[in-house]
Amino acid sequence: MSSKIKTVIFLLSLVAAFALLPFILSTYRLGLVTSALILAILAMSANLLLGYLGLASVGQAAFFGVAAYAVAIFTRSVDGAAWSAIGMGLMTAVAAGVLFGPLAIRTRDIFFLVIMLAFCQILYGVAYSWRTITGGDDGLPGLVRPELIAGISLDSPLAYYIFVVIVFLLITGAFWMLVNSPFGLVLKGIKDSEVRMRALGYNVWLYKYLAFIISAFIGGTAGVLHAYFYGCPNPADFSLIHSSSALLMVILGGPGTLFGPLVGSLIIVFVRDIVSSITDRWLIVLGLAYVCTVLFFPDGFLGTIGKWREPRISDVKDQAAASTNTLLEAQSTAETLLPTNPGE
Amino acid sequence: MKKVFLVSTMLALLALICAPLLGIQAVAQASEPVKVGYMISLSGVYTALGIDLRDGFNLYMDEIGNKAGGREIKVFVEDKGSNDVSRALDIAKKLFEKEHVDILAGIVGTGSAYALAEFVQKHKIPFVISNAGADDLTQRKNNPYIVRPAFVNSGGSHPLGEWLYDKGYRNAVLMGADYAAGYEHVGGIARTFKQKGGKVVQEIWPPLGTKDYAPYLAKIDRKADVVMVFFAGADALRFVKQYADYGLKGKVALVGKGYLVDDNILEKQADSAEGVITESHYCLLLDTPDNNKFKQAYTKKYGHPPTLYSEQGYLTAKLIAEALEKTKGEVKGEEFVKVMRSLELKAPRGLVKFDTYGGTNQNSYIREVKKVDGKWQNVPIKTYTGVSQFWTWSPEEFMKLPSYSDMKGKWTE
Amino acid sequence: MEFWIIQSLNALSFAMLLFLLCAGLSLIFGLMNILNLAHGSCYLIGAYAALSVYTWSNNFFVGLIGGAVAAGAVGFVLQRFLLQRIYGRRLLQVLLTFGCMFIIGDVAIIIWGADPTTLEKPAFLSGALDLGGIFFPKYRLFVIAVGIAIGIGLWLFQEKTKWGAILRAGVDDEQMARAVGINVPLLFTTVFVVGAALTGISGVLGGPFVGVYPGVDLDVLLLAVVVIIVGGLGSMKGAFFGSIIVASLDNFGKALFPELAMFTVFAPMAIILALKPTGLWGRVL
Repeated sequence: MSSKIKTVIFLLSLVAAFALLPFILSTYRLGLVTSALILAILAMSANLLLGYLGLASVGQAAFFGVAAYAVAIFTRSVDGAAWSAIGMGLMTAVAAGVLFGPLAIRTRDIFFLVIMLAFCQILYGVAYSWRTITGGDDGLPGLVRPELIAGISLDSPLAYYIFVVIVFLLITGAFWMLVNSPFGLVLKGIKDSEVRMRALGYNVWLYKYLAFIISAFIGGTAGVLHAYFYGCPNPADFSLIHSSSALLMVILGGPGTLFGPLVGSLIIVFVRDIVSSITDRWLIVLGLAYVCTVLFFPDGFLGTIGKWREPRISDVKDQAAASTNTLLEAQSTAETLLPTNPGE
Repeated sequence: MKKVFLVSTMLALLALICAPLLGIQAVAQASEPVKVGYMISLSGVYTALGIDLRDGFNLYMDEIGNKAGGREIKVFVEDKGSNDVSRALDIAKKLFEKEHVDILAGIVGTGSAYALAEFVQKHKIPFVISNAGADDLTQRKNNPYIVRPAFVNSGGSHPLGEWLYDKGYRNAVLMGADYAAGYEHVGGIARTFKQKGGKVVQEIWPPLGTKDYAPYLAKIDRKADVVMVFFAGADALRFVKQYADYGLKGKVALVGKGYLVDDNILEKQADSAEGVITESHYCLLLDTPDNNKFKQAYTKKYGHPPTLYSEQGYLTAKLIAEALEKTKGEVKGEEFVKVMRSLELKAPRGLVKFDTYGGTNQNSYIREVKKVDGKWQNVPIKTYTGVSQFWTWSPEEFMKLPSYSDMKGKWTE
Repeated sequence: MEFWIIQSLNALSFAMLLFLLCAGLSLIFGLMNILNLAHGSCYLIGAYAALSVYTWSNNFFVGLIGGAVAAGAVGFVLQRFLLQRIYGRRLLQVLLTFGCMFIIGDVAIIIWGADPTTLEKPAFLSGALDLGGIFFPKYRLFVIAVGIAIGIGLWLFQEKTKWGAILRAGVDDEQMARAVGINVPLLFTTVFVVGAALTGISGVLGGPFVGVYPGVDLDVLLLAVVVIIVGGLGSMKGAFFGSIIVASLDNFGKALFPELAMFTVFAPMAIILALKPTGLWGRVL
């Protein structure tokens, strides 16, 4: 079975599972799944950078928070129109990506990690001190979930769950198409060897920049959903805890996998929920989750399970993908030099 | 005619059958515990406050054996984090949707309190705020589900401003952490001080969590005779020490709200806090039967004396329990809040009453840091009784004045 | 004039505090390429442990040693039992040490409670010194002196001693160092423990400035990371001058443009990184 058919089957069973959940789960647990899905989208935006470009970001909350604030500010100042508020949120996140991108992608490794952190801290400062617009430390409570289409309000937990599921599936689908497109293959190539891709004539900078902006868009989507879910954007949306847990979810699930972020976010959200009812000192358990992930599942849940099942094959596949990739490049660049049809 | 008779007989029968059912239901409700969700900070910067709020609350619950109004009280204590509003809302949802709590209580930070104010209004749950002091929670944004047996940020500041003017201070520097609570605590002092004729010569607002206050201390206008400040927790600990380090102690009087020299940091501030004047709604040294009994019980149970926050937790529990006594264990959204607001509580801090906005009418203590029995203590030197959150203004008048957040930067005018 | 003198002294004392805070982080990164996010936890443990020892011994300097030992012990456990398993995988190291920060922070609350606290400074260092009409706290002058001394000491150690040479060999080419018979694992553990102990000392000396409270670990970590990023990772010179730059920008920024106080630390860092992606004195990784 090819991996594409597998993914389609998995996606379909996921849809079925999402459809079933409201019948099985209580309102509260359904809310947990909703928040896990929102965080999974945020994690996906981190995954695009980490899994496909090798850039670890602890600043995804920047896009997340900016979008959340934009939605609330737009709704407050220009009343009514939900679609335009959502659009505004997404556009602001993309704008943040366009703005920060050129600065951020000049750096790599730890420096990238830290410059993203700095963006977050700066935005946190703006949210905190620009009281007239952002409400300062009180945030902007009172954001009400809109009626998207006449008559369908997102107010009830179930309606919002369905809305989030739809957005999640759309983003997942788009993500899948993206990473399997020529664009996505180039990103993987850059992750493996930037020098090689540059030598092959790719504008590496542009690819990185575009990926960064797309990541900002996905992070912004999560931010918009988050804003309506809680109805109260506040400076803590920019916090390091948000960004780092998005990164943890990616690594826990397995970077560079399509469903890794979802697996990671479900694990974190439910573990946190259960543990924090049992003990006040639940941060110890969260910390242990980080440590154990690193020590026992360094390639993520999905990655590790994959390794158990078919040792080495995944590596071979990766290599194969990389070499096909290189071959494609070689073909396209060398088409004029090499006889493409020796039989002629 | 026959038909009418038939119908009425049927109805009577139905009523007969239903009556015991209703009765059973009433009994069932009475035997089921009242569920209280107590949300406090047990992680992050507010942890110390959260622990004391919890311990005070539990002490009162122990005293009454977790029973009031004929019903058992079941308490769900949850950590809501310190500044993470989303987490606070998650926890509130959990308590409401999963545990089906009848009453929500607790909350340390203001951001979470505003967000929860909307949550409780939507779901019609009584909301007892144990700490978050933002003015507008019981003023411009008051809501019928809130009662706050704690304090109002600017509430206790008003008497302090007048007192300072009467003591002969004339030129003030305002200094506070750069967020709403800072503006409200300090603004309250400035407003009554200016009204009497005092002058504000400078405003300085360092960010919350500033590590080094040196650049600000060096800027303080030496013409001033008093610095009115609001800092809390670790900020307060650092600020008071650095104030003394830079030789300002004893030259320009340092006054502020009680948090500046809270009982849990005063020992560490030691002689650098000597002579600091603060206002608070609670004072450990109050020599009243209620306070002595509270102090003794608390110290016996936890091995150390209570703090302001312990007392607030204690009073939160007392308020809920006394209201349950009055309603015979019945909790009905808005009406229950009305009952709570109508109570007069004999608290360790003194008599506490509530206004129709859910804010407090309570004593305000001016205190000075002195060494008593070889220990640094906040010694009460003046008491204002029954201080309203609106001071001498009427609620309408007061709420028409610009809010303290809007006044930031305009005090020197 | 008085304003500038006193603000410059403030900036210098804050700079030396920052240098103390980040020296351990920089040392560890310099040799081992590990960004230890549990750095703030070493500060926290150092400060709390020193406090306990101080209450018991009533001597500031005994407390200082206690703090260094406790933080060093944390470093030992961290390096020997956890980080060594994932050598060379930087992202995993970041996550692991970040997780340890949560654990250590919460354990500290269980042991020492959550009240903010500080260490009492020794009597002969309290009060202010009169510098021709300008009063400046003695303790801050002490911190300036200690910072400069540690800076020079570390520099001499790295550049002029045999141990320093071994260290630099380890940094430049680990395999070659192994080949010429240097016990690299032992070297790494030693450096990590020394770095952690140094951080513990900063927890004691910085205590009267910064204090200890739940969350100080993250605060200290952020400050230290900013400094070593601005200075350039893995360079002791960078850490030293980075401290001075960050502290000066912060101090004068706050004094002259108070409304920008929230941005005086992170905005300059973002600008410096955008202009020079590896920091001012950094080497390419």
